[in-house]
Amino acid sequence: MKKIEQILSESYHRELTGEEKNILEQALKEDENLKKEKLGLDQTNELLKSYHPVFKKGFADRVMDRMMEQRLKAMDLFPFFKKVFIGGIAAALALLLSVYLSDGSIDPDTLMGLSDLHSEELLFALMNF
Amino acid sequence: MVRQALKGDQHAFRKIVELNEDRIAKVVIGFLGNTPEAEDVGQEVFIRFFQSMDRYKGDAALSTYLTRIAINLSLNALKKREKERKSNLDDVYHTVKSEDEHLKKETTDLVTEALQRLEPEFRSVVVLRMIEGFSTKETAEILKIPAGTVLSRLSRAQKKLKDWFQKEKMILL
Repeated sequence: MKKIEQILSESYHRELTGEEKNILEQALKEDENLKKEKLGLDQTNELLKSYHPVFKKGFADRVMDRMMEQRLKAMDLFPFFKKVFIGGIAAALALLLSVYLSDGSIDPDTLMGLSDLHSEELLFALMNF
Repeated sequence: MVRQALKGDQHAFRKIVELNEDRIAKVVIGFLGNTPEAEDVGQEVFIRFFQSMDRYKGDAALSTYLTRIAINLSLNALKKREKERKSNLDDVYHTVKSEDEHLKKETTDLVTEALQRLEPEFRSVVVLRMIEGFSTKETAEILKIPAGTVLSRLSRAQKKLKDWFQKEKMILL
């Protein structure tokens, strides 16, 4: 790239020195190609300034959906279930312990409260029921 | 509006998205082309903002703050894309080009295509300086390169774009 073209190009992006300004102005008066180059760069800059791409319709909806999705993920339910599970296990163990302490056994009959009943009594109880 | 959004007002957050989506589109589509990746990065900009909204102190305008997030995410996506491109011969630009050939040749599509034809280092300076309107100094700071490099990249990028637009008869000389 020629020095003068470089100055022309940079004139869009920085303040030129006084000397550079004079050189450029003079060159633009005399050089038709440089004038054409400037015209091209002006139009290029205009095109870029007017550049206005958009997302597909419904972008905000998609962002909100994704946000909700992330929120649900963030609301991890595992700690809640963990608390309930541990509480349940603790209650079951306490029940077994109390049954064992009061009846001295944790076999199924004891757990059902049938350990003190003999089979005849059980039959009688069922018939009366 | 941010304060309302922080309180959990979804309508306020939605309003933030609606008011800023065009500006964010300019950055991410400028950087990444009109691709699903750009849409994804665009959404991510707002999700990131949502997740760190309490850290937004209002020092910068909200649109500037969001633009900065968009620039960072787009640059990361570009870097990732470059890595993949280097390890994959299926060049993304070829894909974009062949897809775009079937699109209507509207100005926006053509500018998007022209931007995608630029190498990422040239595209970055064009998007920030010429589309987003950051100063040369700000562009240099954002990209962490010297201002002189920004200027030389801009000069070369402008020339390439001008030649492309001329070829596509978008500019008349």
